[in-house]
Amino acid sequence: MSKVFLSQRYLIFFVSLLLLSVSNEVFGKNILFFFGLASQSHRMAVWPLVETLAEKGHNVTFFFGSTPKFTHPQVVEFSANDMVNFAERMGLRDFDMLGRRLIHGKSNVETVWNDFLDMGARLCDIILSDPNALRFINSSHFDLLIIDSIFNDCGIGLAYKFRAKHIIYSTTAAYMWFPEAYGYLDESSYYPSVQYSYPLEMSFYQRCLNSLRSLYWQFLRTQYLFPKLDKLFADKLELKNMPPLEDLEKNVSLVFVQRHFSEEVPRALPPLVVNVGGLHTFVDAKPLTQVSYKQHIFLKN
Amino acid sequence: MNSFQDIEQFIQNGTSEGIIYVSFGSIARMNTFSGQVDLLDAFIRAFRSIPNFKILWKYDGKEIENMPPNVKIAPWFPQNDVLGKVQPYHTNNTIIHSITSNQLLLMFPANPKTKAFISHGGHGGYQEAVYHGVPLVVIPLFADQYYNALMAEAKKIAIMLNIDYLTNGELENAMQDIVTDPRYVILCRRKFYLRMAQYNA
Repeated sequence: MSKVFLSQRYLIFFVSLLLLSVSNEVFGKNILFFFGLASQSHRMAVWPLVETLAEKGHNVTFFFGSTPKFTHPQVVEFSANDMVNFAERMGLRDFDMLGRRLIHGKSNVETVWNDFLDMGARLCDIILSDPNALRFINSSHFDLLIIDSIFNDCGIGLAYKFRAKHIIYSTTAAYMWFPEAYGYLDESSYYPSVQYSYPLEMSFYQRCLNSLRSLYWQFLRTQYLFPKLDKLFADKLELKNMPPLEDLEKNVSLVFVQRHFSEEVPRALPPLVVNVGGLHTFVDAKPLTQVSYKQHIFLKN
Repeated sequence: MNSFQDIEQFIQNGTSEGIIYVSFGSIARMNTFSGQVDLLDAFIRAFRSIPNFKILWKYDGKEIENMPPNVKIAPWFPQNDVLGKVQPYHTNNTIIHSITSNQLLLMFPANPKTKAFISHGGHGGYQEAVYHGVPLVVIPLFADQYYNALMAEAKKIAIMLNIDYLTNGELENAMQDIVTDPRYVILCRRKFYLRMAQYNA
């Protein structure tokens, strides 16, 4: 009896040893950062997260709709250079915002969000019709997608294709459609929103307009952008039974927002929405214990 | 690497009261900027009005003939490091903090310090400025930059300017104010404490 007990104990010991030895490979997940419609600054903002995940042993791939200016040996890149005429087809070659601002004034520049919306639709079309991108999509598997929030909704469809979870990552404050899309309190009737330049003390007219615009943006996404993308996914990837993107985006796991209440207005956020403001400024400051040391120096000065 | 050495030399040579960093981000095209004669003039005049400050300007537009000697241009700066590493956090004058690359460590010795950041109000730069306690002069151009600028101004860590009215010496005044008034720096650092207090908790 005791012999059996002993052998069972040995068995447990060896099994746990075996599990421990392979644990690194078991926990290393395939993570895709989907930053198709994103500038260098978006890449910069999320890069510490990318590096940290890669260094922790995950297989990180970065899908970037521009030319990467910096890389990491452990991060696999799939960028605009790997696709045919990406910048031309996206209309990035003559995308001169400064020129528009100087020549046509401030009101013209406010329509930039509509341009981004169109670009989001174009992005998905380009990716799903590009042979290299399709090969990349069909030959890879991912467990988690981290998607740039600015009309990169193509990534949500891809997350469905990989049967992966997805995290939305906003490189600036929460966009106007966030409350409606992820189901939390909309504060646009008393706080200015990131997309329009209203002052902190809004007039009655501005409050009305701001609240309506919040609904308008989610309406645009669900009625203009998503049907286009749904059709693309059904045609190009032959995902016939795919639920509409409007439902899929509600299935979001986390929403990272690169803000902090110390630098804007304090907003009421649900646990789903995580403030990660200043992530990219901590690159030289990790671990955080060193940061408190810096605080000490600041106080002395 | 070479350009970093240039920058280091530029900061080392001579004496100055500090550094002012100027950048309009990765999207705004400096060729368009240099095409606007009035705008370019306003900037050059403002830089000339503060000869005792050294200016690092992220600029890759067409060449400027009458560039003041206190201005150093480059197509790219390690922004987070320019804002923060100019005065490394150290004890006993030995630099102890970790840094992304050794070149950057050598690049900025302890003496000069970034006093102001003239920015387009991009979100990354705004956060870096708050983190390193550098007040801003914000000239928002498009997208979320107006919102950032308004917030920074409401928090009293920035002076916001309209790019349409820079020609009548407004930039000079704003730059003078931001480097002479200590309240901006103090408030900026308070933002930093707030964030660190929360993140360390």
